[in-house]
Amino acid sequence: MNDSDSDHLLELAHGYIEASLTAEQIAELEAILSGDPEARRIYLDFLHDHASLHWDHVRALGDEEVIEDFPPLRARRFPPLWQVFAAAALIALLALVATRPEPRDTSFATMKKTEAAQWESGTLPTAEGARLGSGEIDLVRGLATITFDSGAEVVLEAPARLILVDAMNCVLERGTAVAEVGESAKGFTIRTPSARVIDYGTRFAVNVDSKSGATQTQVFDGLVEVEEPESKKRIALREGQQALVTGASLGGISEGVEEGTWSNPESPVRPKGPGMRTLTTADLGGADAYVWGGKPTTHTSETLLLLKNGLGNDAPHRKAFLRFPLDTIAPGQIAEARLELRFTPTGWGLASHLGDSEFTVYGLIDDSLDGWDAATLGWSNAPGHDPAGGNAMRKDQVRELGRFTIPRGIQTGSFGIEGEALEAFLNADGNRRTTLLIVRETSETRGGGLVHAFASSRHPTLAPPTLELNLSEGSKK
Amino acid sequence: MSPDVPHPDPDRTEAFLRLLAEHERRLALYVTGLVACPQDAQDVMQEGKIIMWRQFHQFELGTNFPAWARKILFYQILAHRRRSKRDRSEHLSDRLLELLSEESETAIREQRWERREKVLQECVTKLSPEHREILELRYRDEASIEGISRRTERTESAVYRLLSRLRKNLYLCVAKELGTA
Repeated sequence: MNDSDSDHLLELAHGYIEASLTAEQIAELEAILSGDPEARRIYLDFLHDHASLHWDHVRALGDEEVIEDFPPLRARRFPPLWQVFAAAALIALLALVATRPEPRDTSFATMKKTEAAQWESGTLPTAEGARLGSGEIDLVRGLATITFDSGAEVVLEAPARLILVDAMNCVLERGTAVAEVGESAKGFTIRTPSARVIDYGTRFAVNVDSKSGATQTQVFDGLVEVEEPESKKRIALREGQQALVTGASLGGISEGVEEGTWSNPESPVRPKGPGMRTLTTADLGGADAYVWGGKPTTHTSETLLLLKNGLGNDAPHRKAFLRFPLDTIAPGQIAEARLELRFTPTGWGLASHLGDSEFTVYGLIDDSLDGWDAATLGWSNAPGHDPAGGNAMRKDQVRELGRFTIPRGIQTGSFGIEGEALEAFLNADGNRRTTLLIVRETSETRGGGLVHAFASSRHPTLAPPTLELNLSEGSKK
Repeated sequence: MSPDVPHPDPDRTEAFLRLLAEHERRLALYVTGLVACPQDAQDVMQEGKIIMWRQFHQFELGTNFPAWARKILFYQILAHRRRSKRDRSEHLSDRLLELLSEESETAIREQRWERREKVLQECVTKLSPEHREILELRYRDEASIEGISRRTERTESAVYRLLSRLRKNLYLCVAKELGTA
């Protein structure tokens, strides 16, 4: 076996570990290994390296800091017994044998990942890595990724309630689920109160309206069948198509909606006094956008406004711009003002590369610059900011209105500023519309750090950037 | 506790637990080498430990426990594959698995893997922090390729290729240190 042969063999072995080989490649690997004892030795040594990396983790690290930087996502599913005292093991083993004379594992899925998740009472464990059998989970906030042993993966978006039936079936009672179904799980079915969605190897999203039970299905790629159970009528949906099932009627197919509306925006419940007013960037005349500079990146979002202060001038940077219309509010009328931004995880970059993060809110002083167009706003033409760096500003064009801090590791929640500086700035605005800039002051400690994000006016579920105003009765405070 | 416990003899129970504690890690490595997927290996080990416990009365104290345990585990691997819903074309064949198991027995007899493990740790320390981070995400956090791609701002195919290269480099580093390259 020469170098290029063994290189090819190791490539196949890597693919086998990652379960990414085609049937042809597996047949090729089978042929190589069956015919050559040396190939078997190389393959097994390679697999043994893989096994010991897995079971011993990656040990012998150079410095403590690296360990500290990466809190484990989750504990091993079964703690290695050799690390446990024999006495404890005895109790555990006896308990296992005693309570389960027929120890058949009835689980068929794994809670792979949770992001900013909060749970309502369900019957299944919610810890990452937990094995799941039949039962129900109720997600109040955040995201949860469940992998079924069949090969289907379902990402649940809160608020949602999912009942797991077996490795090929689940019931979505309400909320949104995005499913990715591989070849091995063809036929994976999501039932809803109004429909059955049968998957034939694809990526698709299902939403169940919590009030009406209406089922919306959108296919990103591949093929899905949607069945209305009363009439047994089925339609096939292909890439880019979506369908709505309401009551007992199967709606038509509609084409190409890039971002469906999956649920009604959560309206924040707060007491509304007579003088309370809420302005958002979704209002007429409002706008929001973010600009990016430094190293080009494919990590962009239509629905989120991204914030990042990269490490060094060439790293990716992102700053957000918000415009609120003030034409319904008289100058000087604002007694109290609060800016609220709903942060949500992007999944990009490592939170561990970043400490507590401080953000500054700036107001754009020059009213003539308020007319920016969200579609064309870019790093070089955006007003008020200085393209020289991730938090550089044109100090002559902006006024600092306040700062807020998001603690390390937190990516979800409402953050913002309030106070006199913001009130005075809004009251003094001459053209009755105002531009606010949000900039992350804190730079990552190493490259590849977390990208912060808050919901824009186009976010399907989270409220847009909001100015909560308390207006005084007279014209002046 | 319960009448289902097959070995009420506390000495026998202790003997089993001592042997298992001593050899479990190496047994897990043997299984993982044959099934490749660590989750499958964990499932096989879990089932296998229960079978070992049930059949421990057949084991003659003083003989080779790990060799006895590997036989049980090998049949558990075959049983696990049959239970799994995955298609047969996604696996190496049972016949090849037998050949690989024989080769594993040779490697264990030659203590080849014990030498590899020591050197492997040295080779890991030679990696750049960035590359170690990828291995940590994969092995300690059990992140998927997709998960690593999102957390390190790389594309999935770049992560897949990088992981392949890291594994190959580690293999070659160990081979070089052991003088078998």
